[in-house]
Amino acid sequence: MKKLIPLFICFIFINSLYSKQLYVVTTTEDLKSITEFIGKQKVKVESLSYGWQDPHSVVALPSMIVKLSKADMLVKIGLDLDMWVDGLIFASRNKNITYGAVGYVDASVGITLLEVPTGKVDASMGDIHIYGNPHYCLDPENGKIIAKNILDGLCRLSPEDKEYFEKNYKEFVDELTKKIDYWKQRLKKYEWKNFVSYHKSFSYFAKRFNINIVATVEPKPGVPPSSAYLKTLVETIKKENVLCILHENFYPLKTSQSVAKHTNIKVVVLPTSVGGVKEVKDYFSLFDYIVTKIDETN
Amino acid sequence: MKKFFIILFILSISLNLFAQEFKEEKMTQQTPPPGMRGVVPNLPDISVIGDFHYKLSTDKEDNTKDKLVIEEIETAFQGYLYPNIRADVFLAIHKHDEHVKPEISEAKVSFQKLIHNLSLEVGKIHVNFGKLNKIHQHHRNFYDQPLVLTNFFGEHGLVAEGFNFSYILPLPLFLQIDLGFWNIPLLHHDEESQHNEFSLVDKTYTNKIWMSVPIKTSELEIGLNSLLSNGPHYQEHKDEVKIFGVDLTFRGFFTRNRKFLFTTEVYKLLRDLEDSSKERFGYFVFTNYKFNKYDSVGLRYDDAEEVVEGLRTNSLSAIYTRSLTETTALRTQYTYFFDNPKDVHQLVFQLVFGIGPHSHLLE
Repeated sequence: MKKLIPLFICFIFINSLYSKQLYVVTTTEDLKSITEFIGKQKVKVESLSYGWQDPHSVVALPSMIVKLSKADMLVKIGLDLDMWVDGLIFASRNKNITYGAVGYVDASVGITLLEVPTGKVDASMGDIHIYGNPHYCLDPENGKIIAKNILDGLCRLSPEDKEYFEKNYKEFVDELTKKIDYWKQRLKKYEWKNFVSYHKSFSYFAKRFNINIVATVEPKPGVPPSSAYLKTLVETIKKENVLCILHENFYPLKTSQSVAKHTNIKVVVLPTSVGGVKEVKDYFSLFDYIVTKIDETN
Repeated sequence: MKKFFIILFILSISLNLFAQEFKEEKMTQQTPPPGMRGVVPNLPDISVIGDFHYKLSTDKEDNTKDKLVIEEIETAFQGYLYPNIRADVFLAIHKHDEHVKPEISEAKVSFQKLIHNLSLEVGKIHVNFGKLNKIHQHHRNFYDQPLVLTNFFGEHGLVAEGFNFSYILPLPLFLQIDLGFWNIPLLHHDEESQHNEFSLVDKTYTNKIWMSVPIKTSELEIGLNSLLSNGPHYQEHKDEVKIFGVDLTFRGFFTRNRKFLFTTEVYKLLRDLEDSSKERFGYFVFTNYKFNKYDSVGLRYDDAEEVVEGLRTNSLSAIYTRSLTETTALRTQYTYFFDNPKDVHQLVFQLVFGIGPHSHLLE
């Protein structure tokens, strides 16, 4: 019996270590990855969606309510990309993660947004995001802003660990800065070259790495192309000397392949989030993968 | 001469620039069209949902066939009243036989948290009973309501006025208990036909135990439901009704927007009259496969007894849905009603559309 006492103490100790962890729920795996870099062992992070899912149409499930009900902090993309989480926040009964509460982090705060519609906005423009293009995670410079928002959230919840989180944040930003230079070097030969994407997911990526996205396979966001539109697209691709089609891996591949066949260019199937393919395990490897794939294909 | 051309050239450029500037200023100042005059931050979310269909049928007595039917127009107002308290009001104009009638489809105030994990909904509510009842018709994967829900709960399902307390147990898995205390007014639409139709009336108590188990990237939901209410002849015959049901839903998620759904609901109804008692049974099974972002196919089998006469109806439906947006879809549904009292083939084309931000939880 006496032998069990050290074991029991050990259990209590480990348990107390774990209980100090903040439980963070994120809506996407990108946000999960960045939160893990900032929080390291002082956080336990779970994502509600998978990287291979279309972030526009994630189905709200009861199991997500359980995660949110226990969360100390919620990190969301915002800009109406993950609006499916809004009802879940209410259903979770967790007042700490409601809009404006201490554990609510909108990662889009401070991002310089692209494609913000002006004037009249309605469904004639497709499935348009009224606050601007929400795929900002695909600009690694934005990763720093996201990380800062997460850092602020973690410091609000656990001010005693502020130094620890800030140290991790600095390491993350330094590493990201180095990697951005490396990715820029690798993509230098594609600067100002023309590309086509299926959806407008790569706008931020293109802006950061100075590549031109001259058209999308979708005529308007969320609207599948008609054959008449595809004819125009084929002409554009030929005229603009497009290098390849950047195809988000959750969209139907057939149309992009057909366009590529008619124009003799290649389709690069790419993840748009961490977890989008099994090789992409964190925020850094997401860009490693995308850059390598573009480079390999061309 | 040369000077004259230079001056003319500069003048034309200046005029052109001025004209462009003026044009740009005019463009930014133009008034948006009606209904799109900008977002006012303190307005609730306002939306309109429409549900139209065109039916072809071999049933000669079906007076809704061979014409466009505007099944429903729903207007929704949704927003917060206070921190952690929100209101959702859905006003609908429905078609009942040949008559179009406006009604409050749902109007509720939801309190996110009373104590611990206990929440409360108050108002006229699509009761959380079974899986499908809570979901408005325009959000369902088929154009019509499964027969068992129509036979046991009425044309719009179980919609009642009252209170619903809902508690999530502090467990690693989702386990929610719902207790509802309701009042259902006698036959909403057609009081003349009350002797031929069945409906639940007056004081009604509902209970649901709802659990969910994640299986890798999929999820299994199980619901156990019970209800205690009065039948339409309670005053004369002490007409008491009990309903027990089980619902089971499995959702599978795969890459490239592919989704699989299987759902079934099974109900048993016990009706105690003064001198006799009746048992009725009904269920439906539905399976749906969404094979890309836009298209899905489904199959539904219905088997349900009608409460008053016990007449049993079976039907099999094949459904194809093309989703244009989250709230707008085109649907084709073929249904075969087995020989009770006769074979009927039915083909329905449905258009469901939504304008504006419209949301229901967990659908």
